Amino acid sequence: MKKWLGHTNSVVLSVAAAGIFILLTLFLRSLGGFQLDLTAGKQYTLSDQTLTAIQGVKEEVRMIAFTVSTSQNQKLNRDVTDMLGEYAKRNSKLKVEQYDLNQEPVLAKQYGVNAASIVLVQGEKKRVIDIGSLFTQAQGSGEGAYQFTGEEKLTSGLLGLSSTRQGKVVFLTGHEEIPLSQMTELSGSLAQDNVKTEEVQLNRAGSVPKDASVLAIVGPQRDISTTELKSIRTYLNGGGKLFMALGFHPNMGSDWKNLDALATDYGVKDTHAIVVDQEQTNTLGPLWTVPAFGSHAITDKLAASNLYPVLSLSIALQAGEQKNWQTTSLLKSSAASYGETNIQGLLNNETQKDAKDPQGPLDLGYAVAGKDGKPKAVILGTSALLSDTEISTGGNRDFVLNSLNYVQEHSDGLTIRPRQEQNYKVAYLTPVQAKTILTISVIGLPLLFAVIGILLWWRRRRA
Amino acid sequence: MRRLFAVCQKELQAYLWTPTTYFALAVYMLLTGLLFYTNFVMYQPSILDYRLVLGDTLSMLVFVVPLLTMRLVAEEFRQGTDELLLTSPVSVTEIIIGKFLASLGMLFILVLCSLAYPVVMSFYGSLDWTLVFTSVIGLFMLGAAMMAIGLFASTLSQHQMMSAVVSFIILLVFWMLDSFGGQTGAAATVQQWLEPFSLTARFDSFTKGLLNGADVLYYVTIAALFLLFSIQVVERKRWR
Repeated sequence: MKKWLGHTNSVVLSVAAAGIFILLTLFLRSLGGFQLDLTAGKQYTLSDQTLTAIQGVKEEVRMIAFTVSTSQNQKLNRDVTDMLGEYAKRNSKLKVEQYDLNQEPVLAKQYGVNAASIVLVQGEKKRVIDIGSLFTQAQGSGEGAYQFTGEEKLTSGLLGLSSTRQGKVVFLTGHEEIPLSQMTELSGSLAQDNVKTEEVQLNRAGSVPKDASVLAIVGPQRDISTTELKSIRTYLNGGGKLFMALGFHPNMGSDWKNLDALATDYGVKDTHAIVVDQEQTNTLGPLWTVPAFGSHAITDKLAASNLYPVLSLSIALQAGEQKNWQTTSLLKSSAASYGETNIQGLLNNETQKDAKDPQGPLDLGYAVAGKDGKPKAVILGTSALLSDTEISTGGNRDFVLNSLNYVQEHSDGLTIRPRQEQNYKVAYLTPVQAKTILTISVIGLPLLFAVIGILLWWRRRRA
Repeated sequence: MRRLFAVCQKELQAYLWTPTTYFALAVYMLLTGLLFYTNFVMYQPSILDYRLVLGDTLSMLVFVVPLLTMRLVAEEFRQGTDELLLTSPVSVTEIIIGKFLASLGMLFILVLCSLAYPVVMSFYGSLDWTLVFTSVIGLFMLGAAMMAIGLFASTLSQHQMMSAVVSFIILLVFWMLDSFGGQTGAAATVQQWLEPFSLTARFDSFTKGLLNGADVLYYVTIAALFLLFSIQVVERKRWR
């Protein structure tokens, strides 16, 4: 009886312990990111916005990574899979799958993927994130450094899957504006947020589409006609929103009557002076400005993350007196800067401050809100930052997306700082070095233990 | 406690004076050395990242741990010294934990040996020592869990080789738990349930420079579970 009780006790205890182990393991896993990040730059510490987005996932989301394995992109693939793993750790509804694109072409085709991508699938909804777009060259951080914007894109993609909001940014064409085909990165980022983009030529369409949440005028080279101005005013007076990014043009001072009138409607005056800044600039020269931020919902989070846009050939703007609108300066050049009004001189590479040129700090962009604080417009003195060639520079993308989110009254626009990463450090070994390593690791160390073992065996045998 | 340390000391001495220990270490260093050489030197330029080297060498533990733990209890059964132990004032818990601590001593030596590779790598460029540090912690925790499994296997038989085989099979199952399922359908569900119990999947965060609470506790609890199983198996002897 005692024996039987002993055995039963033992079995019950063992089964209970195994049960506790299984439950504890599953429970702790469900807690997710209960961890200490010891990496430099806290690479695996996700932002609050991301954590909120992850917690908000209520339906199962498959995060399918189609990677292409080459010796050059091992580290990049690892950044992607590590990031997906960090997301999956925090919500069991997120499932990670990884496939080699070249080995699974049929599966990739099912999701319309033909380049390395992350596909987010929730029921019928799908988001595709191009892995190539997650990496950008870091500036001035040494060889092999790059920026990884995976968290911003993935979180944005997750929010996009669950978001019910819709938006449509309509880009004006017909005046040599920057075409959408040269702003694919911007339209991709907007699409992730369920915001559609389309172009409209007012002469043909007659009016701004009624479902447009914002009318964007980006880098026009010619003035809009009076009829077009009238259509735009009709749209804006009817509750529409404006995003206007002006760009440099030699004849802007004399030709842009209607564009200037449109900006003036919202209390913003175009000075037609190009900002020359020797202080807040980058290595490309004084026509590139790295502006300071004014305090506003668009810029506050960016300022906290030291994420500044880099602007080229900016036009200085001024806020005039306006009864109906509140204008807030978003971007400012340095006090040492000035606005070059002699455009011909500038074109001939001759620029120096004279009496006519306004002295800095100069305003380069304004947010306009109604008296009730409701967003109405964002007017910038520069437009190249929206193009594919410049959008990845500095904080350009964040600034533009924040501005567009602001005018659309999307208050949860994402600003997640990209991670600065270092690619693998490499060493080129000489044949002598290779031989030394072989001798130490493959011959020396095992031999050392084998010899100790043989000596012990021999000694024991003799004893 | 004093008795526990006495058992530990005796076992540690047995480890250090047994030729098998050094042959096991030699085999481990030879295999891991070959993998290190292949990963670090054969492909040029050499990549200075301990994580890439560690990934392959880790699997060698599945072969070495059974060799290091097989004799822990099985030898007592074979020589008949278990009767003496069980009738001594030392409790079974003290015996098992003492033996386990001794195996951790061996594991410590094994981990120190593994550090030879990042040290060699550091001669050829700067290495991220934070990652090495967390990886070594992970290696020790993983090894400790494996040693506990090996110790349990050693309680099951008086034949050392049989213990080693059983230990190898259990370790292999736990090692591969994250690859039994699939990525779609029912297989994905199986994978989802099994993956949290995989020994390898838990190791990843250490190599990334993370100390994840769930992973640390997994290794601690699995070690505790198999120590408890070992105690229960040995206790059964009392009821025979």
